[in-house]
Amino acid sequence: MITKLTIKNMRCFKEFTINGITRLTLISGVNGVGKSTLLESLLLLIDHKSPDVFAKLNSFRGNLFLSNTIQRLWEPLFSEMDTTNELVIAAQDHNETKTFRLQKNKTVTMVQTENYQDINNDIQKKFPPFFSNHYQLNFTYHHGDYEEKGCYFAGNGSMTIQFDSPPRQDRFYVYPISSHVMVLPNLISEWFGKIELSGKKKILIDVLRVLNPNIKDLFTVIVDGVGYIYVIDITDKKLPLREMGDGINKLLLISLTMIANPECIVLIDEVENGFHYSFHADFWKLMDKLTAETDCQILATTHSYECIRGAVNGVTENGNNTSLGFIRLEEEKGKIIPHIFTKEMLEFAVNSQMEVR
Amino acid sequence: MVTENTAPVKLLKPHLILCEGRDAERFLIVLLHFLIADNRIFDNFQVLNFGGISELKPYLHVLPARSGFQEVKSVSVIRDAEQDVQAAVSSVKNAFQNNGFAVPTAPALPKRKGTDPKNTDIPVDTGFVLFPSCGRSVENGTLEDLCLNILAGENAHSILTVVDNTLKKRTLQRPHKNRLHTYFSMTNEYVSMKIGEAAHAQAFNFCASPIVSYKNFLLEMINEDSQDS
Repeated sequence: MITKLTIKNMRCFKEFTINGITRLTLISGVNGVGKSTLLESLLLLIDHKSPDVFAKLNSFRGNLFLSNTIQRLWEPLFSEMDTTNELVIAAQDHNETKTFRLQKNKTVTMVQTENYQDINNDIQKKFPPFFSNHYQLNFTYHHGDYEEKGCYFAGNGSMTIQFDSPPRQDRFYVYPISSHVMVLPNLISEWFGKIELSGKKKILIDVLRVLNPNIKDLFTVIVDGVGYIYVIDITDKKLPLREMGDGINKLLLISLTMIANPECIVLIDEVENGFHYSFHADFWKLMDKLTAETDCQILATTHSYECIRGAVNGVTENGNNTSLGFIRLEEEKGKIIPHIFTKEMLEFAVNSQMEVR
Repeated sequence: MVTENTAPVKLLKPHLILCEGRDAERFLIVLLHFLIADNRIFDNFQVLNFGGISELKPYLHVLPARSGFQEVKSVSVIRDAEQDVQAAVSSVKNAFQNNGFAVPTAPALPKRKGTDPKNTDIPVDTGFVLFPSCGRSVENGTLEDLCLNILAGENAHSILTVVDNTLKKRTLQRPHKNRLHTYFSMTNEYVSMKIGEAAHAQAFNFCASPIVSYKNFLLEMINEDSQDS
């Protein structure tokens, strides 16, 4: 479980450290203060080996199409878009620290053009033997004694990730969830199949029944090679789950991610979206129980006081005092400062009707 | 479990007055409006109810983490002295001390930020006063005792004499409350009112000396030279 995070030179974070991250962590603060960036930093740290990590970062922000220039895709990650400074993300997990460093390779030639499609032609004209060298970000990753070096390379109309030596396959998994993230139905079906085989389907059904007590069972259907989850309700009617509303689908996605991928970190942007305020306490009561059972962690941003109050009430109902934490980010004198609330502090604050966001 | 559906309270002013309970909160809000009418400087204060005596410590613990706290310049506390003034003084000082605030040395003596060598973490001035005296001299008692000492109206004293004559034959656990609310019930203007409502209805003389003491303390909190004698 991540308990401490340090970010340097990533978007709005020049130098930022936060301790006190808990199994369920809610993050709040005014617009533009860095809530989503905090989640993105964990996505980049843990998922840096995925060739589509930048596509995930993009879609997390609602940019559904990859930028057509590398500057627009990669450079905004760096604070003030200054790639000369190293971007560093370090997270402490079970007494070990994972560190990811990213920096532009200054020796690789970059042609200054706004149109990605022109890069090849310009390189060919000016640097014939080296037309394939376009833009390169070098990275290093450390986890305990393990070291990994590589680069992200953009050239010849494609992006690749290259490693100095074959990388170790990490067992860690991180999954971003936001209104903008497009959920792949086949991934959902694959995870569903995984939990069916491992006998954990009932866990998922019990979770969904808290929001919709009419759900009796779930199954998958393949249509044109795409898997869809169907519900059998208490009248034995069969319905596609995706037609049953945003709330139940979001609850399915979050819960299934954890049940199918124990020990993962789920990053949720604006967690309250899609849920009626009356469900917040039940939602967090479920998440408290599910994260404990699956050894997963949830970091979620929120603007909603009802969501925060629901988190306190839901976790309190479970009799838990250590699983919930709250972080309010605030800009003070040009720096982003985290204000940490333990569950006890947060409970007192909402019981006293204090504004904490 | 929190079920109340009122809007969360924001920190809106640079000088905070933390008080004990709803009655004190409403009383102080009415008092501030009275003071503001004479001097707009008092519009820089915000009254916040920290709840019961035992809740002051956790309230101060959470306070610096709240949004808006970086604009706060002073935090002062006002609560009942109850039956043991020294215990009340110690309790307030401990609450400040344990939460990293500068610790005032005595009632109605502001402690400036950075002047407490043990507690320099939180850059705000601090201070406190106790009901009923509201100033540097202290005595046992409560907000109700203050209210009884500053009743307005020509007949207030004579009514209170009748109240006291009636109640003296009874053994009461909270005589200050009995006296005040019996007084209210013997008037047409304030019958069945709570303290805040009675304050709004001008039951109290806000020019009385304990209020002047408190006003001077607030001016010191705001670091203002204009004080009444």
